[in-house]
Amino acid sequence: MKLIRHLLIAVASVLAIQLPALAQSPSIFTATYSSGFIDLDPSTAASSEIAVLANVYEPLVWWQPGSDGGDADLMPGLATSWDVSEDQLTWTFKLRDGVVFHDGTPFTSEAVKYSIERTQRLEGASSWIWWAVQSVETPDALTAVFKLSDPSPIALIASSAYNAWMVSPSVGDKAGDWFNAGNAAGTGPFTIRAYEPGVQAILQRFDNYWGDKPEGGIDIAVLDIVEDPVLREQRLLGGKSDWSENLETDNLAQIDENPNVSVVRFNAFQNFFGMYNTAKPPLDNLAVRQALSYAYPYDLLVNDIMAGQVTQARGAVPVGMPGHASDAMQFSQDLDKARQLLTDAGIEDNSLNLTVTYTTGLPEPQKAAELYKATLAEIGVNLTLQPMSWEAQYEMATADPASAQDIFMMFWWPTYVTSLDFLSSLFRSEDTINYNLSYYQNPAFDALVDEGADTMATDAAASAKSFEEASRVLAADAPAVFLYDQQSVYGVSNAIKGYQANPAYTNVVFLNQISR
Amino acid sequence: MGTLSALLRRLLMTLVVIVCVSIITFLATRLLPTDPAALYAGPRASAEKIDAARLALGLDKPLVSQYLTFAGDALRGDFGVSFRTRQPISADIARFLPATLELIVAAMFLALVIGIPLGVIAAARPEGKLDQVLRLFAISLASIPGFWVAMILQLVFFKWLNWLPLSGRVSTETMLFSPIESITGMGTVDALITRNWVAFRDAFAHLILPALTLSLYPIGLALRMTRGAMGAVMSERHITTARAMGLSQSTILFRFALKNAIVPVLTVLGLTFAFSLTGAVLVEVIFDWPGLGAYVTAAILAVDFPVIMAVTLVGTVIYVGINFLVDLAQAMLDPRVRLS
Amino acid sequence: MRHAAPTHRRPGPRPILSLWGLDRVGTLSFVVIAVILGCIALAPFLTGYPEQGLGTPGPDRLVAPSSEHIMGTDRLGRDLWARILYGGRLSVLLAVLVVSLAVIIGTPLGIIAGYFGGWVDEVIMRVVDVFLAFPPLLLAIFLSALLGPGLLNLVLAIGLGWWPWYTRIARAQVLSYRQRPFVEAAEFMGVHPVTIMRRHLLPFVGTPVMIQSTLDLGSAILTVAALSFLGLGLPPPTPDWGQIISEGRVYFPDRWWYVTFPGLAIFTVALAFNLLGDSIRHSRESEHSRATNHEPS
Repeated sequence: MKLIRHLLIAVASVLAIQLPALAQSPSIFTATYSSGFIDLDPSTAASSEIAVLANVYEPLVWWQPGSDGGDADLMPGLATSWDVSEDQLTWTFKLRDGVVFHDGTPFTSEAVKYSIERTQRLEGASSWIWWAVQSVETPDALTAVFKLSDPSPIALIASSAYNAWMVSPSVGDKAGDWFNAGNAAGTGPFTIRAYEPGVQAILQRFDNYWGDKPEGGIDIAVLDIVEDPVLREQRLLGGKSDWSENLETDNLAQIDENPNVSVVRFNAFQNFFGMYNTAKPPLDNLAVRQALSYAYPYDLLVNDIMAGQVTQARGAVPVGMPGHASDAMQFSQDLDKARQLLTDAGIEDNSLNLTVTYTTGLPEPQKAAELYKATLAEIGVNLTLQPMSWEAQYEMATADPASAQDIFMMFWWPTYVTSLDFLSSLFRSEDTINYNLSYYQNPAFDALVDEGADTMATDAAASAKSFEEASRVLAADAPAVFLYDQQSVYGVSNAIKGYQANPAYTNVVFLNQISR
Repeated sequence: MGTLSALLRRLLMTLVVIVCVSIITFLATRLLPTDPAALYAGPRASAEKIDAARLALGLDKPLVSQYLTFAGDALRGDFGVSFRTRQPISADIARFLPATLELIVAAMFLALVIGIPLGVIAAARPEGKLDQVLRLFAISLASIPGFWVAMILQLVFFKWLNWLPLSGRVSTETMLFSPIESITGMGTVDALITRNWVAFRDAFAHLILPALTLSLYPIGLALRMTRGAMGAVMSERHITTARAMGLSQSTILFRFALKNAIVPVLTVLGLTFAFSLTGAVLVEVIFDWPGLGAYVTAAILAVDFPVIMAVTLVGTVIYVGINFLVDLAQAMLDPRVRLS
Repeated sequence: MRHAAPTHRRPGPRPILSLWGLDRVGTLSFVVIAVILGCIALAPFLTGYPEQGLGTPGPDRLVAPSSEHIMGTDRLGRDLWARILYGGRLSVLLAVLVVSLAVIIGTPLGIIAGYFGGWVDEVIMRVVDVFLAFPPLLLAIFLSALLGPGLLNLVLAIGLGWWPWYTRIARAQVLSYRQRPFVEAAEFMGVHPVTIMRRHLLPFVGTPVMIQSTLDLGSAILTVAALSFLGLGLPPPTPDWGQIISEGRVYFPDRWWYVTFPGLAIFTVALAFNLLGDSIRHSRESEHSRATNHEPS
């Protein structure tokens, strides 16, 4: 029977990863993640697995947040410098010398060509970032030339957290299965020592890494998957874990009181909002959307329920991102105005029944939805809460807008650092629904977004201006109730030094930067 | 009817039941509101990808042929690929099943070791004070929410006393420095076989709280069933005779009465297994025990239907199989019990 | 989880304190159940925060028990006592519906199977076998995952796994009364089978079904709580007790009240139903053994 064969294979593979016990005592770091790594293929991975990938692989360019109020910048990764031609259609990257992949293959321009083509060929969720790249040329081993069809900010795109990692050409035609069996072929400071899907990944220092190991740097990292927030917190407090994400907001103060653990916060480019269904009555009516946006108790949510860990959103682009408009329309709770707007729209008291969907298993959306229900009841609107799995929720939203939910609550974060991913992916008119889950259609807005996109590579300032204008238009049109911009909050053991989060790479612990 | 033909008939019935179960599970998932193809294609998939997935899954074929394919694959142990983990489900099950079995066996052991002697003690003086107290105790165990007890056990033994680990199967240290060589997939057993004492201690410590939580209900069950069976046996003639001959109470209880009550005790074994199988779902979630229960719960939240289907089927087959074996053992031990 | 088969028997003395022939424990359980039902029925009058019980957030979040909030408040500042009262309505209602569904499907099928026998019996009992083949909670999990959240869905998911027990009980009863003279006489006189089943057989089925359903109410409370705890329960903000525990778990142990009180509520109700059921069975069995005067076997 196949099951038995699988059983044998499983046993054999467990045996295979059981390396001999370590002789001396290495420095170990243990992190706890809230959701499993799904796809360890660097060319297609689209989710939390970058926690592993960003330590095992490297991109050509890293995105670096500005320190002490300075501007953000692009930093050399596997490319040491880059240049763009006059016509914006040719990007030339000079590559780092003396870099080898974990399997010993030297890193050259062929590897760059292979990695980009592999990403394009596999058509992963984020492969669109390379849409303008027509070919990658390799004039010599340490020069890679990107030929584009349209101007596109390739250096910025190369810093993407998804699908921009450099992979060894020795992988050849091997697909996701090979990676998901725990194999890796990167240049990063760590290799995968053992991997058990949905349970844990153990990373081990790569001895031939081109860079330096910090003083007291760690040798082994155990990334545990613990879906239960209670266990994550208890492990952290009990000293069984050095780092944890996604801790319960209401417990942060207590966690911080523990002498061995600190709560640290970093800027994040993540926001939380509820998409209004603008494709069907009554939310196709601007006045009704405004009424609903005026009804939300933002203050209570931001300052009380979220304990000031977040800031109220101003439009679709999170604060700190180019394209965020600091003067965009921001709603505040005003129930009288909300009632008035509903009356003006001809909606009778208690006649409006709406449904909100949100993802089960996360505490924040449920709290946010319960607040909404209570406050809408005060203006005579009945809201039904429908928690669903993400897949089911997404399925319902994309099937048929006319029978879909009225409000769709979701989190969003960018593939690479650009407000284009908020404005275009979420609100630009779509023929087939992808992520424009408010089904918003506004040609004027689309034009502004396109203008920003077109100038992104050539004139960053002009591009940001167009995006800002688009943000203002969008905020006033209220296609969604914009709730809050998030911070990343982590619990970290005090024994760990040098930990810095990077908002472009969500929830990644850069293992080669920390020490204990 | 001869024993052999009765046995065959019983076996055939069992197989028919399993086939029916597979049909019900299959049909139920096909009546689903969500499109399996969209789930399979994953988030951010294009319409073409979803169509391709539909073809790949054979969802365009008639229902009967879909079922036959499903049943054929399932017979060969192939349950397809999980939407969530992207791993072959049979490989996942092979990985998680031993952990669940380890937990269940430990819980059953506790249930029998604690429950049966208590049942015997209760039967010693029917309607006595002790009998009443034990009856209350057993019913309390059947009324207490297991997930609630689990929380309290974690609080007391991990947070306050720090005697036992919080969750998981082994500690990071054991995993890195004295890894358990996998033979059966059950941590404690493997550590024992390979004489890896450090790991055994650790794995055993991790097993205690989840096994204890899981055993609560079965302890009550074993207690009551043993008490019931003993109560009946105790009034039988030969026990009365033994008592009249002046044999000691404990000799009567454990040598004569329990021996005669062994058939009902076997039933306890079967029932205990069944309840542990389902109780494991909650226990595994709370103790982060990487078994089938935790696997199916995660699958539920992600609407991962092939997994839910596969686990339901595998669980049912195991359950039916155990029941069959119990019946068989009873028939062999007691000629009065007939297979039917 | 389902309750075990009955085993505990005694030809004991007549209880001193008796309420419809119940012993002390049974009487006490009955009183406890009555008090709890009374409380949840009168919920609006027993709390100062009825609107919070229904979901409206309150001003003080996660406050420890005090004179103002005797059981503290939850993560949205709602009075926990009010939440438990209103949640109890749901938990008890769900349990009653689940058991009713099982009884309504299971009992008639059992009577029919027992009365007609032959192929009718065979078909019904094979269907029973198939449903009993599923491990108890697994079928409920499977069905509720399939049906999605919702009150009726939850009831269906659990109830569909429970009815076969009633079919078995009813059938066994009918089989033992089927050949009695009064049934045969009625048949001889040409009374319609439906009338025979309803008039002459149903009364004998009533008692064992009642005992089993009382026991099952306790199990149903626990099963509903377990499913809610796993996230397969009802949509918020009117959670049943299992959902309150699931919500409050993350605050344990520092805000101990959040899971302690709903946990105690579940335990108390389940225990009361189980003890009551056990006690009824007890008294019926002792009556029975006195009446027939044979050795319990």
